[in-house]
Amino acid sequence: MATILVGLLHPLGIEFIAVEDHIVLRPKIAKSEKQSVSPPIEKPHGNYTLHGTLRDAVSGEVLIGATIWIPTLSKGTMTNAYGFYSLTVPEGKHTARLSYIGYKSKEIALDLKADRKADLSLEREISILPEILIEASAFSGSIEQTQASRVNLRPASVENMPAMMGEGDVVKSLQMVPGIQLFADGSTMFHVRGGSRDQNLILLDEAPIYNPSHLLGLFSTISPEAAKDIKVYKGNIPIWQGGRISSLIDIYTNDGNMKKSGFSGSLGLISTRLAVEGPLKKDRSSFFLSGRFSHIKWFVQQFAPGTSKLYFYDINGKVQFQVNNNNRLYFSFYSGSDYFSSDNNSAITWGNFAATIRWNHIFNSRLFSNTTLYSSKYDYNLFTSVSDNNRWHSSIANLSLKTDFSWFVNPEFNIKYGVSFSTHYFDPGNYTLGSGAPTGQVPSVSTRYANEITAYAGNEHTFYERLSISYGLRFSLWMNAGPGTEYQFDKDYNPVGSQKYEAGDIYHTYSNIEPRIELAYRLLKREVFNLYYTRSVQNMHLITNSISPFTSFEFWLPSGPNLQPQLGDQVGAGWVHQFENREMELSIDGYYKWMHNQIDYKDHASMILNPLIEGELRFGKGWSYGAEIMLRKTKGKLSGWLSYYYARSFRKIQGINNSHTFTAFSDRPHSISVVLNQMLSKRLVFSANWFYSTGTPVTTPSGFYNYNGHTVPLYEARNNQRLPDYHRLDLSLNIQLNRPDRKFKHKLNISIYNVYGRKNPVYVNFNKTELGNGEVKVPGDLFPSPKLLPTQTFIYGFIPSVSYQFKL
Amino acid sequence: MKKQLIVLLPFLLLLSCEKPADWDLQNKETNLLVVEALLTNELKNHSVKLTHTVTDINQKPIPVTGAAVAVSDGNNVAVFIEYPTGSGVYYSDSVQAVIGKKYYLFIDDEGSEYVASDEMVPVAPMKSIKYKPASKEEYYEIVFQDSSDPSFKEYWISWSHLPGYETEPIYSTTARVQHYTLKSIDVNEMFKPDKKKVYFPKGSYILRRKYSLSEVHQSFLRTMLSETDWRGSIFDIQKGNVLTNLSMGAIGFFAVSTVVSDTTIVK
Repeated sequence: MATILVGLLHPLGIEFIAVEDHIVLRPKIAKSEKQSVSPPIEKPHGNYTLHGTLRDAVSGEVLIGATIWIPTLSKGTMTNAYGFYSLTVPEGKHTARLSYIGYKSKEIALDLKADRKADLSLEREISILPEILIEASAFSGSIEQTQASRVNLRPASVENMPAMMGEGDVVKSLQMVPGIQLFADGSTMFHVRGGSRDQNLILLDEAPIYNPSHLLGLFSTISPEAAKDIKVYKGNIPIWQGGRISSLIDIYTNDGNMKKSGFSGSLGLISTRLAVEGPLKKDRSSFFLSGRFSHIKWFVQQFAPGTSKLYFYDINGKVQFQVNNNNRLYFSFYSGSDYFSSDNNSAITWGNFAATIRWNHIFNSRLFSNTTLYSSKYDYNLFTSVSDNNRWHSSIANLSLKTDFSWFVNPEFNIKYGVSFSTHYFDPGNYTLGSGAPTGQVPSVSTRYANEITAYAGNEHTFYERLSISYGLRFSLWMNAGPGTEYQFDKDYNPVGSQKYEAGDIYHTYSNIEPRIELAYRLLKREVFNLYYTRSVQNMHLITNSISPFTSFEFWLPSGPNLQPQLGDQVGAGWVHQFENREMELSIDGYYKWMHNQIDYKDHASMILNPLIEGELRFGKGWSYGAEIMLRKTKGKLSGWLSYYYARSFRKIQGINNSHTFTAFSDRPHSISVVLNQMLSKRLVFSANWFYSTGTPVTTPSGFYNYNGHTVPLYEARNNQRLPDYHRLDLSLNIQLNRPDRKFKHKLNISIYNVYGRKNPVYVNFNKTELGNGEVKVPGDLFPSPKLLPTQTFIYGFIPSVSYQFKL
Repeated sequence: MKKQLIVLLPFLLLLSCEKPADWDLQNKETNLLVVEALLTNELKNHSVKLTHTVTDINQKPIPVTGAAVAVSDGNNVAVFIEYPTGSGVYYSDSVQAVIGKKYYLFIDDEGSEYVASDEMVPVAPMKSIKYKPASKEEYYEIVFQDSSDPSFKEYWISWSHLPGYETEPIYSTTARVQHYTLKSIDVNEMFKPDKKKVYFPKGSYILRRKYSLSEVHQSFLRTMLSETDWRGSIFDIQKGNVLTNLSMGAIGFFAVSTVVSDTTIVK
């Protein structure tokens, strides 16, 4: 058959390749267009290493997690976060298959007689089919790709999802991922597998984003347009990352097109976004700059004329240079801020800043390193006088340096090791006057410093085609450093003394070892079973007793003499089966998680400007367990998924709920998500998301009493009831306004959020009186004792929106 | 400083909507003793009100009758007698508290003994009362002013004597309004929900009383307001039981306060 095809196609300038069960025809690639392959380096033994970078053929962007697979040897590898790969195979002729989701698979012929460098590329699949939010598992490649508890989100599909006010939102889209629960409507806080909201690490180009919220949480700072790759780890956080015990959201931003300039943007009801990218020097360096700016003030002022300023913005920038064949530099930054002020000279502002400098170095064909210098900062300010710069402010910041090595010993051994050093700064909230004058009786809360050293080593060991084991150890050393003041408390949390430390003093340390192991076994050709255990340590703790969905006056504290590190142990098992037609997948994951040194707060804890804040904290343990079932259709005109997950989460905290076990806020036993994308025509894609979950636990009174005219609730147990079940339907229609082959692409997104106007409550309270017009308020007149009624607070109703996106 | 921190950004009001709801509480018959006791520097018959907790939100408090109630400063004891019998309200003879002494409340209810204590601190004089024309025609509303010291102010406003109101029921021509100045700093207070306004006509009488607050009394009021007037802000906090200075599982508060008062006719 091959001879016939060659005979037929050769005169037409067409060649063919066999990709799995298909024959793919393509124009013959001229020699000059062939992949860049360096001259071979002769070596006197039988195994040779092919290494290089795998990129998008058009933009030159590196492809993260792409597969290079040699079927005849059943050996392969994946590109790392910088597109680097290394594959050691026996001398001789081989055919390697390159594949990556959303790209045309390709086979390349290798004749290995020596180590060689081969920079490869793949062409994006020009598909009019709707992209699915969660990538399919890559069964055609190495077994590691079907890692349990990890999902890859497609940034392009996040843009197309039905979204509140038409603002595509990475964090909000996580609600549709089994195992992840948003705190509530209007919030960017989320819980993963029963964990607390501070147990999720969001990394943007390796730098942490401490608060990914705009407009108090109505939108997130993570704009999908700027993202290239989004990986969500719900449990088995990779050995080279740590610092949180529940999840990792690892986001890499666009590098910028290395071949030609372009721009893109969008215009919505809330914001406008513009992005430019292009080569600084073709094929050697590129830049990407993206900005999003809100224009919501005019809208808000219609309803709240006292709003004098209201805006938010995000700016993402990145520059990368190929210094030479073995060295590449990246510089990226993110800056985002919110500002609300009113006519009475008060304001709330907050902002995130993150910057990263990375240096990729290829020591040799098997050893790759990445050294990163990064810094992040988050500031929150409540101005009591904008004109005088009088404000309450809190902040957290870090400066970190780390080096990660990937040693591709051979296809069976992929060793990773690295070390990092960080210095952290915490301001738990202080009041200052712009004049610099003393603040009188306002207490001063000690700022804190801490240094952190981490080191890790792990190995991905593939025993044979069917079995791989990833295992490793991570070591962390946390050191509290001066200057600062620490208080000592007795067993009843009463302060009994204090100790002041000078700059440079290391006054308290915690060291921890985090073992992690994962086993993946291919049961059948398209069926993989995973089993894992992971331990994680968290030394930074979000302190807030708020039950509000909105980001408010929370601040961070380090582990220290009064605050032990949170520890998380998780075991889990997963099974993924891809059906024969390769369009559908069924996955089942189960987990059990133990959380130690969990933080809660005494009733009515005093959180603001309290130097003795640790005396308000209470400690205990938590545990959660659950199962996640997902049926996905990843290809075709109709794609999407149906998922169900069962999740329970509990806490037992000394001094809370009479020290008895109670359901955690994140305990929502049953959740269902349905995501559908239907291509109606070549230019029309209809999407629908429906989400359901059991109501959030709430604390409600078991009785009441009267005191001085007030009706006071009496509570018997924490989280004793639940809010009504949450459910919501969102719809969107994406209308492609250009033909698929046109360079200028533009489309219209029409979204309806909460189609049937479900009022999903976030609070229930028992302290309001009805005014007669359906409005409720706290009673002002206590004679006679006012008649009160239960009330529910909700955030969103039915919200239609439209946005326009374009790209050249 | 806290006064400066109390800001209300109009934008925040747009973010949520609160509506009446049907809610089935998991009621539990706790039947705890609730104490409302206030001893002041005024020479008068002071009262202690004893009730039991109830299960429904608007249920009338159940009086605790037949209890033995007394207040002592360590040297002298004032006995409180229930009047009228069955009311759950107990009165002393004419007594007054003085600054610097610690007072103890003793209650014996069906063999269970409860104790509480508080100490009286001085109160600063009140600023002149302020009121302003309300949006409702020919009516006025109080302009609340924080005091320099921690305090609780109560306004009894009456217009039943005014022409046109004589035949109105007392509860529609009398209002009881409270204002608290606490030295604590709480987010839920800063962003507390709006209160229903109270309007009164020209010629109304306003009896204003200001009570001093001890540290523990402030703590009690802070937690009580967190569960009542301040509950339901957009930055709401975890719910929890209100503090008490009563022993043995009783709830409520025994307070000892210095009082200043004045009377105003709205002109």
